[in-house]
Amino acid sequence: MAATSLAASYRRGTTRRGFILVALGVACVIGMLAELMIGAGTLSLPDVLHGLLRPGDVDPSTRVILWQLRLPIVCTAALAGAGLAIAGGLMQSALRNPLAEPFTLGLSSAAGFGAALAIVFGSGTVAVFNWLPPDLTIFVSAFAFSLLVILGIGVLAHRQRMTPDTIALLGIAIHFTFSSLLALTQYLANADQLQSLVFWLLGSVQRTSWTKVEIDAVLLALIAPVLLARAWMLTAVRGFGDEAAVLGIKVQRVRFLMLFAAALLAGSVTATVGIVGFVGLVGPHIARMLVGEDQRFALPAAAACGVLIMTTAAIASEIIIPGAVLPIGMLTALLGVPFFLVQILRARGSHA
Amino acid sequence: MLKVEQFGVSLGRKRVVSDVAFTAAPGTSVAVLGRNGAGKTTLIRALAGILPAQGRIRLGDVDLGALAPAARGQLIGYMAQDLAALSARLSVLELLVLAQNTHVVGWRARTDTINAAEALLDELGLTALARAMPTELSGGQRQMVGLALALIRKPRLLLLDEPTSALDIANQLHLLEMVRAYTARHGVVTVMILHDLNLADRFVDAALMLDRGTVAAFGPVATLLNRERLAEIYGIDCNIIEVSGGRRLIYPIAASNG
Repeated sequence: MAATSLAASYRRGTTRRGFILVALGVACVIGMLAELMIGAGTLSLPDVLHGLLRPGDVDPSTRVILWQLRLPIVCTAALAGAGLAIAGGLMQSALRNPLAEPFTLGLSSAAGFGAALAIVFGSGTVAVFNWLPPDLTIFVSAFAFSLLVILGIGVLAHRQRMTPDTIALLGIAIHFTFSSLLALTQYLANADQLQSLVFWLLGSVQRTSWTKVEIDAVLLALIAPVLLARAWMLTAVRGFGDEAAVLGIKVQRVRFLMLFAAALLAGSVTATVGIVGFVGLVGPHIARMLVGEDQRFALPAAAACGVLIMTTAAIASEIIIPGAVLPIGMLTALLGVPFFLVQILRARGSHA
Repeated sequence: MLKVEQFGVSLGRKRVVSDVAFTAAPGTSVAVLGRNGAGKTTLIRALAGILPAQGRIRLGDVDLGALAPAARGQLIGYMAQDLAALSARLSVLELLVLAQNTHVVGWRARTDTINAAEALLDELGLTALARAMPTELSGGQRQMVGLALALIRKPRLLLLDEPTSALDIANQLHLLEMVRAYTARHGVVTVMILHDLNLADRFVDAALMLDRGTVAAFGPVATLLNRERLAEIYGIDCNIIEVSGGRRLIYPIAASNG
């Protein structure tokens, strides 16, 4: 009797978390629709739905607002939230460190430095990319630097047989290195360059384009299925740490692949929206509180939480000061912290 | 038959374990004995494949070093002093299911793995802990869960690092009885680190005595645990007292300055 009830309770747990995922998904869709309605010239929900499903049937101005102006921004915010939160979750699992996120491994500051190079020294110095439009030059340079960092970490970690803690420390050293280089670039920049650099660093979903949305979407579409298919192994590496080797897992290799996937996601997102903190740290934490550490549920839940945080922040950035759009990087933490604190304090009541 | 030859482990530039060799027949167990820092845990972790090592481990006619990690993982069960997995936010049942599904590609756990986890929990008398988070358990309960995790994949080689360190005296006997029964019933080889010499004397067949990373002695536990040897390995002076039932009691008197 006890035996059957255990298996049933395992399945009930799986079903319950499935429902939580569905609810999060619905919340994401609602948030994104709300974001589509808001902005200069508010659209009604029927307009939005109509314009999305049958673009030919709505008047041209609505169509342009929806498809050319708003949808790229909404998609960018959603992809950024999902990408950063998945990246943060992967890093926290690989390094078994609850503080790991794209910032802690120096990915964000490396991307920031890459962008700064492109902005300040332009295509003259970054001559490799001068076949690209200037807009994409910044993207490519930022993305390239975050990949460079993760490959560097991978090589060093392999040669030195680094522990996760050492890798995290190395990441912090990299973070400060690129922060200093970034400061130096800012110091060398002229007033115009400095302004666009500071604006870039504050993070914004407004300067997006369909091309960038496509790059972010393709990366996510390539990586997410692999992560989901191998979710059991990710959970094992997260749960068992080095001891996952006993279960027949090549722990070092899986760890590096997790960090590499995280760098691809975080790198492309940062190259698109600039530096946006907090989402990569907190998305996975909220997900863990909701569905636990089984990565089959934790990763999709983290992605959904990331989407919700970014979408809420994007809406807030447009309505706080009417007529102006605040940089989203400023808002994610301000909006997210109170909610996160409530979650932490509630969680302490039940289990830490 | 477990056959370990020329086995060595280096951590960084430091050679921590060198030239270890021993054998054990199926259904028997070996206690690894020695002072703190003798290399016991390092040896066990290297045998388990967590630390890189040199040398050969053969289990029956299988060379464990030549096996792919996934195949090797099927043969080895390992229990740490404090298993990292027991700090995760995964219930005991989830951990046991996870340990069997690590290489599954896709979403669903193999159904028989949930049943296997149930059956093992039942066998070990741990059914009541199935839904608990290991972080909420006592040290002794965690250790029992650790044993369950070591056994869940039906290993041929069982490696236990101080399996009784957090257990009360009743549970020490209970756990070691279970390990002995499992070892004999399934023809497994068990290698475990023990600090309690009386438990070692009673529950294992052979002893591997380590001293500064090398084998000081290897042989049947009945002959190896004697006054001279214990003075040599631990630097203690002890009385060995015959008690009823053909048993004996190792009674340490004082640490000599050895």
